[in-house]
Amino acid sequence: MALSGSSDDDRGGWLKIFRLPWSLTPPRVALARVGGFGLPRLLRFAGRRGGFEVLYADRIIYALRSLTRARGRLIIALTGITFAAFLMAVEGSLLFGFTLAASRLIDAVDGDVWMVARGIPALEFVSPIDERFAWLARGAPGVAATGRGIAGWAPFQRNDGDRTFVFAVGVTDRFLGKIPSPDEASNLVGGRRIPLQVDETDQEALSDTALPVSIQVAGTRADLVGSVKGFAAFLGTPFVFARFEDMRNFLPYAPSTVSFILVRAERRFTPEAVRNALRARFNSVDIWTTREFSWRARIFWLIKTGAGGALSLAAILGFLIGLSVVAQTIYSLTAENVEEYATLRALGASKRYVKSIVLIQSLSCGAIGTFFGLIALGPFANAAKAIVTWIFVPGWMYPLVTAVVTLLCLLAASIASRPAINTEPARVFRA
Amino acid sequence: MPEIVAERVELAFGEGAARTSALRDVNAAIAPEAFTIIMGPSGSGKTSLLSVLGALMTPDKGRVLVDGADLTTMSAEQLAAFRRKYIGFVFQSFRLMAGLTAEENVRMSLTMRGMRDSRNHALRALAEVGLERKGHLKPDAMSGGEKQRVAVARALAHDPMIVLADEPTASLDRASGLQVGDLLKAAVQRPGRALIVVTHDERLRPLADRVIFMEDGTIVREARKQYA
Repeated sequence: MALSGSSDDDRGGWLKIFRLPWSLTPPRVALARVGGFGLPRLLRFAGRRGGFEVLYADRIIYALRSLTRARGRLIIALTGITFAAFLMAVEGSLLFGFTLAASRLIDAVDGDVWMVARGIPALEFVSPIDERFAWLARGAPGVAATGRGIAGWAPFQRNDGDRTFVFAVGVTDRFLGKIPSPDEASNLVGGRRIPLQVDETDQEALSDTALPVSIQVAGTRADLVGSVKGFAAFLGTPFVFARFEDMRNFLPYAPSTVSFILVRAERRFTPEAVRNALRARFNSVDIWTTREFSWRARIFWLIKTGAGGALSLAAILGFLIGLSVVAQTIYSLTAENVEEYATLRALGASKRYVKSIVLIQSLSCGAIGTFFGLIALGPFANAAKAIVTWIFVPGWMYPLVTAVVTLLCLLAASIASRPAINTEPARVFRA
Repeated sequence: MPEIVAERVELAFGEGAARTSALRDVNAAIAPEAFTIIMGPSGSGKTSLLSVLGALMTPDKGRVLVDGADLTTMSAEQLAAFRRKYIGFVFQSFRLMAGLTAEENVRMSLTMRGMRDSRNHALRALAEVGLERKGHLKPDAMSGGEKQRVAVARALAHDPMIVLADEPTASLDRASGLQVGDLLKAAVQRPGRALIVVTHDERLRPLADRVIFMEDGTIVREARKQYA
């Protein structure tokens, strides 16, 4: 028989993990053949005496031993990847927290559709519209109820005479949703004529004593009666929550005007259907579903302002820094072992075999680095809230960063494996 | 049973004025069941010829046939597969994987070739070179002679048709060198096996069936066993 080169399946392994009685062969074989369903085949039956062998175990063991042999370099590599994963997670959390903060009031209100003045990009820029739209909208198909809100910037005088600006918000009771109700807080302190609430993180900015405290908003005396959580200012100007009926004391709104009108859809109508019905009737105002208006506000703050742009850029830079750190780390680890890769190639290892070793090393470093990077994320975010109140780490940030680092590791492995697979196998004869 | 044939093989390194011929019109036929030694001064082309015969390099001109299969027409991956299946290598500097134990070094060579029950095969191969009790040691805990015996076990464990060794005794003391020489000689006793050794070590000469002398990239002389 003539000899020839061939591309045999070069998978193999030796890590025997368990032995089962011969009578259990069919399930064992079935388990070992999960690869037949397109899944990675990880186990192989090595005979009655051999039990199961883990495929790729040889590569896994070699790859990990090579990594741990150069401990100093491994620690540097893991530190780099940990930092990269941490950086990406922090940047992502800052960016996501910013978008949430940018639309927090819109998302908190319990309405399906918003009616605002034309061209308004976000709630912070509302201007007066006729209140009668609230009554007129009730005649549109699918409208169950309408509410009103007034919001705007107002001068604020602290109890000690210091002055600042606040963003005051008042919404009719049935549409408050998660917006704080000053009435409830007022009742707790024995009732006040014009009660206000502020986020606890902004309380110090508006009062130098414990609440309740008398202050002035636009020259009108009012009482700061309580603090709430989750409505920290993201522009530096505190949100102040008032009753809808009190808002005209603070803002120059005529009795027949409001900042926005809220619409609740009947159950059998979608917000989009109600929005369309309203748009057909009213063309002098902008009409958005809550989701659309929220998204519009986020996009505005992200893209149209320097702050959002800087955060977006930082998130992209975090990704690129992560890629370069991971790629450089894996590349240098591979380059350090190029003589051993040359030996493997000389012994007949296929390119795929060598690539898989680099990939295992890359993914192992990525997994460990991501683990430590993400462990540090929660405590860091909590500590950072003292400075950046709106930083927020969503649950999905963890799998997202893990997926991104995995992707980076795959990219890095494909780059780093080049010197390993392209190394000249004949160099093995050089002493 | 492989017959290894080199036909008008030429190989050069470098470009332009720096180009140097390593092999010039080399013709050789190496029969199975032969222990062939290639000798010659440094730079005579011994290792280049071994690289070409071992499917590690493709010559610039000429053909290399192993049992009729032309290695010069194969792609890099086909050559790798060829080496994996049919060739065992022993290197002067051992080239064991530093992070693996002796047993794991041999097993990796076997699992790379898709062999099942690699542990028993590896232990058997280590036993054949007298290292059955040292399989758990890593290379840096072994002597030079022991490392080379592990390398021999790795080269022979998958029962290759061709074994190529480059200065296998150069880094060893006399006793270890002779032991390695005997082990390699024993490998070629199996039917249909060929062993080619590049060496300066005169101690190996009496073991060889044939000695090829090279100078300036060409074969200048040959000696068969009765003359060696």
